[in-house]
Amino acid sequence: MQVEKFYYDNKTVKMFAYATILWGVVGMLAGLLIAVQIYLPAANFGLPITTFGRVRPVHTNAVIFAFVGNGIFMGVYYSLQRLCKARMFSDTLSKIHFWGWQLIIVAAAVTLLAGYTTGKEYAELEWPVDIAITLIWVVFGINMFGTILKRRESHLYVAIWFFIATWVTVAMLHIVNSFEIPFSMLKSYSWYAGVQDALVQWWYGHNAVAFFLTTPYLGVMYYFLPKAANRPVYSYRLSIIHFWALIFIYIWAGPHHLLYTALPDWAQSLGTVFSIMLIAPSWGGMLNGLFTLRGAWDKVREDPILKFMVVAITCYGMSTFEGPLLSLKNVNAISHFTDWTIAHVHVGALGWNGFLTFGVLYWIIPKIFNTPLYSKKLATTHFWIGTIGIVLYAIPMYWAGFTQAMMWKQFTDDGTLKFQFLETVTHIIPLYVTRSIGGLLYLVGVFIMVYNIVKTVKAGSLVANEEAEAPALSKEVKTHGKEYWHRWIEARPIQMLVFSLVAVAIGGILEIVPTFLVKSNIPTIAAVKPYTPLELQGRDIYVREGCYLCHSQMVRPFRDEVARYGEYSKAGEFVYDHPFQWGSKRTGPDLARIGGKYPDSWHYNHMLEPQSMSPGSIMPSYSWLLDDPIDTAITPAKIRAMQTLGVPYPEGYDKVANADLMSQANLIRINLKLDKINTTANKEIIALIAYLQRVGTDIKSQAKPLAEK
Amino acid sequence: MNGELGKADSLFTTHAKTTIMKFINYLEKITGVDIYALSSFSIFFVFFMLMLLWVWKADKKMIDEISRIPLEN
Repeated sequence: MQVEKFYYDNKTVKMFAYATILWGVVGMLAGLLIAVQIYLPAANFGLPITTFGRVRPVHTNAVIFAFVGNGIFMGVYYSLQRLCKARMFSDTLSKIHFWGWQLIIVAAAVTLLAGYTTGKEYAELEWPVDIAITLIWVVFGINMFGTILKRRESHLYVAIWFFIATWVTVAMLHIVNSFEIPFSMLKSYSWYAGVQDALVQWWYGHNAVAFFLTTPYLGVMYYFLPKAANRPVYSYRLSIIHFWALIFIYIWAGPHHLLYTALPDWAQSLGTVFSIMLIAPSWGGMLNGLFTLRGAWDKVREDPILKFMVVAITCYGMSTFEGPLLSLKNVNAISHFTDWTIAHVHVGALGWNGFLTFGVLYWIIPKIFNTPLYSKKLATTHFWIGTIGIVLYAIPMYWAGFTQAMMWKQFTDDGTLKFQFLETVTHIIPLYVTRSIGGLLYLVGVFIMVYNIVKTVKAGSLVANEEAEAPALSKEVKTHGKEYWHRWIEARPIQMLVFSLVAVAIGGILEIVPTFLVKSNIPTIAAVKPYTPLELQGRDIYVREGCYLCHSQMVRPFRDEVARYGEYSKAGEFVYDHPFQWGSKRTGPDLARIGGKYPDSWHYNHMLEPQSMSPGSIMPSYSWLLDDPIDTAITPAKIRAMQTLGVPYPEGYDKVANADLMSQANLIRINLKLDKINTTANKEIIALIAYLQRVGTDIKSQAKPLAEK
Repeated sequence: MNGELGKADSLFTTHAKTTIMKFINYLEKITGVDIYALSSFSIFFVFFMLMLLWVWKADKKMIDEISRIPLEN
């Protein structure tokens, strides 16, 4: 058989590796900043672009899509070529993919800091960026499938299956969750509203964790762990089961983010059941990884790369054990809306994604620069500092979450709530401080890595095109014994793609379709009316400033929550909420029943200086809202967009909306004047007050259902 | 489905007919909704059994060969 000579493209791998490091540092710096802001409000610097609500999405998006995203591409571009014994399909597509993705990251950072956000966690990017992501993702797909199709290896190793499933599922999730109606060059409203929006968002959000942070990294694990340990994976059979079970089950688990909310009960239960089932494949994968090192633990003692990988896989095991526990309703009742969730995700992000990335970087850079790592000792130091950092991060957050949840739920003997919300926050501030020290240590470790890698790169020279040889793939597929059906799929990437899509689409369709179609699932409430133009403007300011990142709008049907906030939230209250703003974390109190709770002047002063109204509050100041004018020029476009989405404003209302807006604003201005606050009616603060005073008030005019009995 | 939810539904929907969002084509109910769950469970179960069967019966030599692909270069 003819042996062909070809070259692996290491240059693109190098670029993705550099980008991984660069964005990792940026994303973690943003994380450190917001960690400090939580106990030091002055660190918000009084500027819109440095305030928590805008920096937090930059942190999450940078870490997920920039740091881990580039890490995925680095891992795929390195391993796929070698597993397929072929150069990447097209150098041009590789270039477009690399630069396109970096451009998207820059555009994302700029627009998020400028306040352009969809208000849906981890999907905050606005419509032009969404379209760009879709295009670049397609480029990546063509490049990947092109490579697979021209491969010189008949078998598709299991890592490639994980890459294929990642590609197809992320494409599906991104497209379905990003349906939105643009009303300006950079802003849009979510196509879905309220409960539907929440379900689609968390179906997306959960599966972004599954198919962006997990499956591609499992592919990376199945390639680089055998490489680093120089032995095949413990059980290849188990890896096949791991793959199919994981992608089949993961897609159903999203509703566990919405337990005890206004989401229909059957959907919540479905999410719980599948979340519990997830333990099996996740732990199968973890054990497969750890057992690969059976009899090689002496190597782990010597080799920092294996150390990183072992802790990464252990963290994968811990967070995938914890995930199902958090999906049990009784555990979720305590953990949800607290820092417990933050601890959970950081065990995954810092441990699993971070440490696996570092392990792979330490492995790849010396390989493609054809030189040994500058200092094994520094890498080991990085490992230990990083590990201590993770511990110092996670433990205080578990503690904080549990403590705060317990405090929320405590009653006095007289049957009143024992603690004010603010007391539960100030109580855990020392834990917030410790967390930021943990984060800082982790970042110090990364800087040590940067130094080590710079030194390594300087000592070697890039093998941009690495020579390799392999026989061409013969047309006949080699068979071993009987030709079983799985053999048939596993050598056929396109069929693999289709089967993966079917596996993940079944779950999505079955969960989402009934919520959209069955009327009884979303009982409408007659008293719930569309927002007035001023309230709509105010709501958009609420979204722009990222208020939902610290304040939920979802009172769960618990005694303590009803006592603290008021009537629990109903599905029908949110039918005009494009997007929904239920939130996922209560750094501040829930706002679902904030309307009418305080006078207008309280909100005015509170936005100027929160501590003047609530001494000890950790909320940043939003003083610019007092000066900036409402953008009334955009009101008609907003009304028209809402009409397109089915919000029942009267025909032609867009033309008169601003008149209504001004008369409502004037009422608030007069109201403020009575409390000796002089301002003009066209300020953003007026719109925000109008919105806050409206939230959760519609059903108050409704007769209580109990009275019917 | 006719417990709490049904009651709330009848209370709240009397005036709501006109305010339903355009894009939601509500059905009053899905008849035979069980078929969705049953068919997806069957697909899942059958697929899984076939996969386990294959994994169990697969040729050991081939499995070894595939699992060594990453070590080749």
